[in-house]
Amino acid sequence: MKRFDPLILFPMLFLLAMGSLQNISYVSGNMLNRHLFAIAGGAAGMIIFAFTKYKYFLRFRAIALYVTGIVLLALTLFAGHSVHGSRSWLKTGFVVFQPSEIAKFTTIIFLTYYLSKNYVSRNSFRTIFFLIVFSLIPLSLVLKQPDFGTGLVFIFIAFVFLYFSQNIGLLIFVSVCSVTLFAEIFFFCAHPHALMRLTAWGAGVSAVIFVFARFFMHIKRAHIGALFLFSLFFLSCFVSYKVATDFKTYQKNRILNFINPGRDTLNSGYHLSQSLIAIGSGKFKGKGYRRGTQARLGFLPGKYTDFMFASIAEEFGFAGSFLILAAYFILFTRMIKIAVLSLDQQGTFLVLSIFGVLFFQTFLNIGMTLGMMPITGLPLPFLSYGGTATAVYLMMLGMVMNVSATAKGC
Amino acid sequence: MWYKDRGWDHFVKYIRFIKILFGVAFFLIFFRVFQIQILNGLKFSEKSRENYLKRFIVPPNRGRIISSDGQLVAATYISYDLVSQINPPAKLKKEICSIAGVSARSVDRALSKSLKKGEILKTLVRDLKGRSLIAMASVVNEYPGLRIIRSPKRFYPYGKIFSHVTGYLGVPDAGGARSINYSYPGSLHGKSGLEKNFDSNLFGSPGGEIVEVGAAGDIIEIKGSVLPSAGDEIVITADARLQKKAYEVFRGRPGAAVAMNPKTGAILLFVSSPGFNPGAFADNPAEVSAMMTSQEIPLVNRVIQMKYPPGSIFKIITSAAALNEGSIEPEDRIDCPGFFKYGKRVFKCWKEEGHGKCDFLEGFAQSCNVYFYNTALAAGAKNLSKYAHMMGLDLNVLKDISGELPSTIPSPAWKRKKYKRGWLPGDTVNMGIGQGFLWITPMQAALAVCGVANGGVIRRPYLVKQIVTPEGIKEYEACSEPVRKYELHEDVFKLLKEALRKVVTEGTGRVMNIKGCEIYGKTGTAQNPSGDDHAWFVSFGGGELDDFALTVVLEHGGKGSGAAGPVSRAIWQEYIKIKNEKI
Repeated sequence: MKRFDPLILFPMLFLLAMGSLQNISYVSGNMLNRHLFAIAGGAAGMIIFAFTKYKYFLRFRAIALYVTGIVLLALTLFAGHSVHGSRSWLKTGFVVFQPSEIAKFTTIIFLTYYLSKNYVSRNSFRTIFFLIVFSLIPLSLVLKQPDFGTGLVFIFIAFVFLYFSQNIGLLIFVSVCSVTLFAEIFFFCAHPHALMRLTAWGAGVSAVIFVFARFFMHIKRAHIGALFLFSLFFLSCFVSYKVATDFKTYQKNRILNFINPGRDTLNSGYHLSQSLIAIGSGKFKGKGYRRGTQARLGFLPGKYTDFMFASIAEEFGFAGSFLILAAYFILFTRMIKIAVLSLDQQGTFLVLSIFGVLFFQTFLNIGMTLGMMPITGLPLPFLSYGGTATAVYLMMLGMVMNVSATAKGC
Repeated sequence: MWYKDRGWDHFVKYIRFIKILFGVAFFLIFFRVFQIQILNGLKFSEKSRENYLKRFIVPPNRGRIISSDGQLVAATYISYDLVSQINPPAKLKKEICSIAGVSARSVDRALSKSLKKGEILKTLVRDLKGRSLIAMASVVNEYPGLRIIRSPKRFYPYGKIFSHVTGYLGVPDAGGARSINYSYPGSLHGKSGLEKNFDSNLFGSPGGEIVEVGAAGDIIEIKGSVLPSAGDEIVITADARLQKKAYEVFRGRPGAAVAMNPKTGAILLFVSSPGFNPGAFADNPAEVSAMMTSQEIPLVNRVIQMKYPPGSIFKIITSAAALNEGSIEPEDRIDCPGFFKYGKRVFKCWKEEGHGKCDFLEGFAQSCNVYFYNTALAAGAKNLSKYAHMMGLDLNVLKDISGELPSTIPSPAWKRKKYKRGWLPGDTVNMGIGQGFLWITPMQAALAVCGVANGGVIRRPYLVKQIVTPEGIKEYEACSEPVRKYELHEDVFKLLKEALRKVVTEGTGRVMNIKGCEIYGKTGTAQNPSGDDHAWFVSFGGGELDDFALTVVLEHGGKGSGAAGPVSRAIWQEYIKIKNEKI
């Protein structure tokens, strides 16, 4: 049992069991078989990853893995099988899978390989540039499908590796830029025709900054700085304006609903209000297995995918959701511990980025069902229906357990 | 440690940052789950129950309203509606259309209306009849999603004739629905008349089914059901034959007629003309808006909601005041040259050539204005006002139908307060013949007449004789209740009655002189600023007919004797006929 870290294995098994329990009750036939086969396949993969030294994957093989992921992603654009308007699936006979989930794993492995190989020159423009380019490629392919939620995960992966590269200044700059960009996108969703207004504000603020810098701080070339600031602001405005106007109505509504949840309960805010009712009506004990009225009578949308947490919380109550959260907590704290105790840098990077991806998805998904996060179509690791995702996450944990087994004192 | 070797000295700080982020995020989620499930659990369970448990209401049959002679004034009949738990497929819709003989568009319209209201049972076809109802029953057997439900409809057999007695039904406005604790979404309640004031009796109690529904509104399981029980039956004091006759003799002219039994206060006749169609409010919005905008204002209850100057019928009060206070001697004769000069102003008598010398009886019978100008001045404005109040012109005592208007009875103090001007003798002169600032409703006139007929006792007018539950138990029985008692000298009453009788036998009200009947009356021709004179005729019977007092007003009808007189006569004749039939 040395290979299988119990603090990873048991929470994972608990989550898988809960997820399967719910999935068995919701889906049937081929749909259920696919999920169960994927779990079996994922378990096999996990065993393979747990027994293979993780260093084995962090050589040129990493490049091959990354390229495979990219090719699969690119294939979806041509031969993708479309569900709910995004062409995220590839279909070959019985097997239907989601390349974007695979690409998450391969991208993590490849970026770990790339960053640790170029760790000495981590501050050079070249390294940073390629780091960003390598994460932008899958990101753009995913956005093209289009799958906004998974796109967020790839952005997050890029952030994680920028964090590892210790370029905090750059990270802050990128963060500020992206926060501004998101804020502007939110703004343009709410006020579609305010491009001129926002630009005028930017110009005004730049002018004030210029006056302050030129006449109070006596900086001679302040006009250049102010112009640069303004052009940057204008560019971001323009980009976000384009993005916001390209959004579909439902996407806009989701963003607006997040800003103001009480906006419109019957149409676009329906998901959130039904999710809150489902979770809240579970109270302490829950309504009992297969007795959740919200989920079983069809009020809760995405009961076994995006809103799996809500349907579990409804049927198993606070006791159930507490156990779920506890399992995640044990799993994640253990992963941080493994990252700290890892023997080498690659192990740390691998475990931390896997932790990052899984935690990011968990937080976003549960936060979404609780109305703390905007509604994005991200699966809840180990619980949501979805074969590829579950299999890939199992393999990720296999790799984490391998790192754990090789680390000292674990 | 690898991070020391590779020059990452701040590794521990990096990890700490991650741990803090993770900890905060987890705490937030945990707290939020706790908040929703434990702190707000009850609220959300209530909402969840609202989501899936729906009450499907079976409306009760509204109680009937029956006239004193046993005629149905308001009834409830059962219509059959086709409803569906599901959105019917196109093929089924087509079949339904062909059987019911309705267009596909009307089915779609009814369906979308139901969907908008969020009803579980969506109405497809309303009011199925005869053959199509039987044919539809077989379709319903094949499709479990379809049902035929009973849907009671209010029906007013007398239509406009009793419209202001019954009132009409409608959906209560937001404030009204809150005060009616037995209402349910879509329930109809009285908006005026008896339907409004006795809504809680008539309504009955709805039955219902508690059903478990899915998100699409499809019924999954029936959890329980209660049968509806019908509302109480109301028997009113008004007589349908009399009411019908009275409404007909108005021939649509605007006006009001109200008859009461002075000895009990029972209202035997309650007509406001023109009436409205109370059934139109359920399904004919075009007719309703026509009624709302009509120049004839049919929705106004003219018996209690319209004020007129009383005109010469006020001379009853003037006489009572002057005689009782001893201001005039009935034998004194006053010369009427056709006009009356007071200061610079000239007040005309209605008869241009004048009445010559009149004593009280003659002046009253001929309704001589000049005689009453003098009488009014002799009695004084204060006395006129006091007697008008005392004899019941200020009463608002009708309980069964609400919306009564208060009368306007002027007095010197009243004028000073209202117009900031002093009372002039000319005002007294005008008041003496019921003009000027005086405004009363026909109901108030009728009460005053009842008082005179009854020797100074006015009883509360009532329309509802009894309320009977569906099981046949008498829940309420009206009892006669005096609301005003006043005393005049005995000979004043006698003299007044003599004068009122003389009006009918040889005065202005000769049109009412029905052979063998002891009828007292007074005509009135009220000038008014808005057009032709209003015609009044008040009358009451004596001897065998002492249980009938009638007030008729015809809006802009012209002379009291010429316009209101024949109407009164027709009503009296009908009443006498009915009375004779009873015997």
